[in-house]
Amino acid sequence: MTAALDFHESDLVRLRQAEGIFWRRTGESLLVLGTGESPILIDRPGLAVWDVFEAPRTLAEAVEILSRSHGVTRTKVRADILPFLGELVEAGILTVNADPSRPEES
Amino acid sequence: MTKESPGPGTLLPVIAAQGLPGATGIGEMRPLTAQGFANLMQAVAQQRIQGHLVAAIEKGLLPATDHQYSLAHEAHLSMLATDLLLERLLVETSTLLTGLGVSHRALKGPVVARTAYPDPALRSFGDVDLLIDAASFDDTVEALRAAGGIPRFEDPRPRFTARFGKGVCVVTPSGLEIDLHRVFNSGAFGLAIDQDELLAESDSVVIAGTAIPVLSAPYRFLHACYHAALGSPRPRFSSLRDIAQIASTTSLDDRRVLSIATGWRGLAVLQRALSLTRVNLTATFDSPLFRWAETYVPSRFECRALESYVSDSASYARQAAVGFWALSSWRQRASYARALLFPSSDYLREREGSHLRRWRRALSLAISRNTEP
Repeated sequence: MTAALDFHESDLVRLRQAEGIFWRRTGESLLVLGTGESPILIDRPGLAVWDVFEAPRTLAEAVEILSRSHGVTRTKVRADILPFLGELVEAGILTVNADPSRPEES
Repeated sequence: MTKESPGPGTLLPVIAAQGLPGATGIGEMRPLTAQGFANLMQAVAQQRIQGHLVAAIEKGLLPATDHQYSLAHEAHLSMLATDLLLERLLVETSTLLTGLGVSHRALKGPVVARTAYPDPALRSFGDVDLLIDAASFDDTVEALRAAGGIPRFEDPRPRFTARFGKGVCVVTPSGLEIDLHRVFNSGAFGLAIDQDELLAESDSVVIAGTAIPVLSAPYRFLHACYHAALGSPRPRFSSLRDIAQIASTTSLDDRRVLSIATGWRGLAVLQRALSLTRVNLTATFDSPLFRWAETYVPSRFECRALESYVSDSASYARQAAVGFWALSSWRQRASYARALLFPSSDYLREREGSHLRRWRRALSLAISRNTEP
């Protein structure tokens, strides 16, 4: 869980959809398989989160985007998506990349 | 008097054909009863057309309640989960073989799903199929065995499959299956295929960022036809849909397809596959190849060979007996017969029990057909 812990501790760390993953979309569901034992099902609310990480983003950036698009407070968004993101990182579906070129925001 | 709801026999041809040119809905009907829908779901699963069922409901071709739609969607998701695990296995295996320098081509489900269907989610599959260069066939089996796989059958004689057989199924530690093919089919029609020709050209599909080698378009189409026509007396609707799908979405060179099939003495296979597709799917089939299939008259050899695959008495042994005559030289025939009549003891233990029983069976086949077809 080291990687999963890292990304919510620092704004130097960016998450993005992993390359080389296997997926199928049907209706409003997305099935994704990374390095985990079995695929993960992402349905409608999760898809909005998933789509945010098409480009590399820090947790703060993702929270900001989702907070604006859904009209929900950043605290609530952060609390909602953290366990989900941890699961995706653990399954190898989201990758965690340190970005030393970007200064940490205060 | 209440009008009786249509059963799977009426609904499957409509569901399997959804999205094809000329496909229509089932017409006036109410959603099936719970039991009727359960029966349909079971039939759809057997035919591996869960994606088409969901699509047919979404397009209004098949009336269904919200609950029935949810059931269909759940079943489809379950198949898709397996598809993803199999795709990962395909990528891992292809990467391993490429590293070992083994020439190979991915076949069937994962390839057709990505080369012929508008959305791969429409085409589910049950295993991974790979055509393997005969020269590396045994080494490939050993490489997969070293990775924890277990071959389901042993060769009747060393290198039998690499020379004459259709292929070998290897079960991975996670229980998934990899079918290693030397050619498309066992028996006469398989033996008549020149493997060098299959491997002489290739295309590729990209799965999860990895380019996987596949057969070129005419060979992909012919493989779909061979699988549907010879795989079982009653092919799955998914196999027939593959033929219709490839024919309607791929720019096929019809003359080349017919020329290859002629070289393989397999025009009757092509005809049977196209006819089964036209008869069983509720759509319009008016391309030149489908029109050709309506008029072609198979040769005596083709009729005899087809019987060994699709008649009531079809069996592997009968295919092997007819296959004898498909080999081009007497030297090959002698080697083939020796391997089948004097198999290794490991092979006998797995498949037929004893030499005595095998000889009895060989004798009865020889008596039942003592002339060259």
